[in-house]
Amino acid sequence: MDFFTEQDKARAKSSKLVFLFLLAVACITGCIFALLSFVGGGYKEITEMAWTMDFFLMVATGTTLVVGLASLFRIFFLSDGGKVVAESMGGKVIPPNSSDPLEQRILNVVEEMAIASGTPVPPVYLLNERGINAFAAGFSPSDAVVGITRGCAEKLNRDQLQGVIAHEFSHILNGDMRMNIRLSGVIFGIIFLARIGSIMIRGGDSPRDRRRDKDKGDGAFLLIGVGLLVIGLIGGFFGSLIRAAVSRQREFLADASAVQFTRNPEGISGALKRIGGFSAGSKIQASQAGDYSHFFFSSALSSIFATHPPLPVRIGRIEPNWSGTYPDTNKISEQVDSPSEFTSGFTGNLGVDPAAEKQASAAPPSSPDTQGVSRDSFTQSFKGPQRQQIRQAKSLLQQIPAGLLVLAKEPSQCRCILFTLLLDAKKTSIYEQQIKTISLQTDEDIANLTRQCFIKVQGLSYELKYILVEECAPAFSLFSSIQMKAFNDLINALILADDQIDLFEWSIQKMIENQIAHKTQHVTKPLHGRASIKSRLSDCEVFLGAIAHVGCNRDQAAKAFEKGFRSLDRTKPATLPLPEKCGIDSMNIALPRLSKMSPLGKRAFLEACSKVIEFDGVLSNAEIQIIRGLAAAISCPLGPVSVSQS
Amino acid sequence: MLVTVIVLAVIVLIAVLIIIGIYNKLVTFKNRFENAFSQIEVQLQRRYDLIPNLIETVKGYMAHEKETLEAVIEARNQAQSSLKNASQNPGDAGAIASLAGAEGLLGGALGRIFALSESYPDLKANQNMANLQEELSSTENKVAFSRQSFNDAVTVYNTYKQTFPPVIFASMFGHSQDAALLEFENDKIKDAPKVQF
Repeated sequence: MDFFTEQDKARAKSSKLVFLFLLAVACITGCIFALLSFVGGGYKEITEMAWTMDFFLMVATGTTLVVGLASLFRIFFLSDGGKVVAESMGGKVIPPNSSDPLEQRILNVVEEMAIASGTPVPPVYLLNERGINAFAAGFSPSDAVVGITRGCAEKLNRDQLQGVIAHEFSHILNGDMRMNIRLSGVIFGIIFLARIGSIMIRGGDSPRDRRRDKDKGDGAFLLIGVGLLVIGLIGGFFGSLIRAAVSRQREFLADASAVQFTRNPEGISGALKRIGGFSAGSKIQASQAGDYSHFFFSSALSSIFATHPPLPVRIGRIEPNWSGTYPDTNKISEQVDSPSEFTSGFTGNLGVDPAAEKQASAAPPSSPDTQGVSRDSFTQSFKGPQRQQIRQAKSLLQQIPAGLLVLAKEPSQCRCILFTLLLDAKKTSIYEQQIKTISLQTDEDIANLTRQCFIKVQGLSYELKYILVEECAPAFSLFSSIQMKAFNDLINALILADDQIDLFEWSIQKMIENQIAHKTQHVTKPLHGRASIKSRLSDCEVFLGAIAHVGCNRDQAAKAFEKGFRSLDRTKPATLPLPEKCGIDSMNIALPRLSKMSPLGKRAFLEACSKVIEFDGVLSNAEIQIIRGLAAAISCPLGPVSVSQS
Repeated sequence: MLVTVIVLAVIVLIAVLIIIGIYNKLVTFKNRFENAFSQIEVQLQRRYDLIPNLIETVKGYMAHEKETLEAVIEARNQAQSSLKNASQNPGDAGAIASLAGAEGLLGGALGRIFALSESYPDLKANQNMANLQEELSSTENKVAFSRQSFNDAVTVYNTYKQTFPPVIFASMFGHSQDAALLEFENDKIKDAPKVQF
């Protein structure tokens, strides 16, 4: 599965759906028009106007307003990000520094998946439900959350858990959530009609109204109420049917992707079987569950509105020769082998953690400036995580000193890690000034800790540094908005301490910006735009040029650039822009324009980038930096790319 | 007539949507600070788990200070049960106040141990003791940070509740009580020397 193509497909599908929904609203308008004209007898004006065009237009405006407003409101509420969805179902965030082995295992699996797919590690919520289920919610990878029921944590083994999480990540990467939120919004709007109807019926019943003159109008009022109720319910019914049909298709896709990500069909099919053999199944008790049914891993409700295909069908697609028997899940209780899940103790104390010390010295020394990279490992990272990447994610994590990983999970101390990445390694005067800024804006301890971390972080390769930033994401999301703002200001102050931004600082800034933007602002930027690659050629040139300049020597740069540019456009002459024309300033101007491209345009662009990068067969650190900053800013997650496999 | 009905209907509709919005916002903000509390819980719990180790280490050296040690254990157990109560309902002002009180006591008792340990050179030289002391103070910082985050979330909730129009509906939707800020008595500030002229 190539998620760019999938996103384009989803887009096409959703426009078809919008059309279906418009049709539904039109039908509803017609029904209401007929209803009002038919029973309008109570009011003289209606009787006179009944069955006229003017009246129809009036009804149409009214209905559109009601449905439109209600759905806009709902979409606005839901688009507050995945957090709201998880919290309104009673989910409790699992602290990234949790000491419960069961919770730690969930966090580890989510982390491995996130690193393998190059998305920031999402916050994980635990729902206190017995059923085996999980969900992913949020508008884009950077504001997504993953939720898991207690039953899921207790009844599945690690492989099965990984399958379930992979399934949820497929939803995140495919942008299924955005489409679902829109559909839910419109359905809410239609069902809102039914609510108005029921208010009218109850209102007509109340004693206060009864005291009023009991003329024919009252009866008509009641009739209109009943009519609205029926129309709203029927509309909602069919709306939900359409939504469920789409949702079922997306589930098959997510199941298939889960197999592809983990290359382990037994994982996900085992999880599905355990749901089948469990008395509590996958049911969710929370009252809000119905609204969010499509977010889940398996049907949260058992009804004909099932947003998920039946279990046997799903298992059958993964394992064609399945015997049809379920294990007795009621008797299964997974024991977590706790030592293996804790990468280190909870000593949190950087200075005296012997395990961390040992691992730090065992970690490979600073990697050489260039690393060989096989041709397809880079292009493959567009296609979502592969099994091998997940294994690599694990081994990459092991290369980072355990002490640092523990720090990355502490909300107060993960700040130090991000600070250290921005400290000046060459000039002591700037370094001291930066430390001073940190201690002024936070406190002495944070500044000291930053000093200690700096020594350890310096030895890491660039790719590991980027992973550290991603590791910090869940702790990050626990900041209050005031803390976030103070933190952001400090980061910017550190970057500007030496009055210039280098490539690495630039890419770190882009990554942090991308994560912060979704947490401080409530406006949801669309993930992708509709602009074609042709209209953004000049912006693509900037990046292709930058990569060509940093990656190759002067003679090769022009050829590398030409190769990349030709894959985008065959007609225009490919002239390599001057180095001054593709500096950081130009990249900053080009980025927002590039992020408005359609998903397919972005893929073509990234492929062109990879052609330039692979021209000389080596992947330099500067190239990684540009690609990382670029990927973060145009919302196209890339997995770890520099892992040498030669 | 009909136009009036439609206009009225739209106004009523907008009002209903706004009220639903207020309800949802209240729930969201409440959930948010309740979730922020879980971070404090993690940190405090970690501190409580360290204290028995501390007592174990200190016991051998401070045989004569039995009362002080018992006071620490007592304060720790007290604080732990307050934490349990508070974590069940972080919106309850009473539970938060009792947690703050218990934490204050525990802080004072711990301070006394560390002050006493100054007069035991052997204990001061003990590596284990140094680690524990370092660790306790680093958890202190973490608690402070997560407490700030919790208090920010509580403030957002309280402020929203007191603004118009939510102020009309808040108590109707079961949000009558303001949530309490969690403030620990800070020994450093209290013991700051008074300026004398």
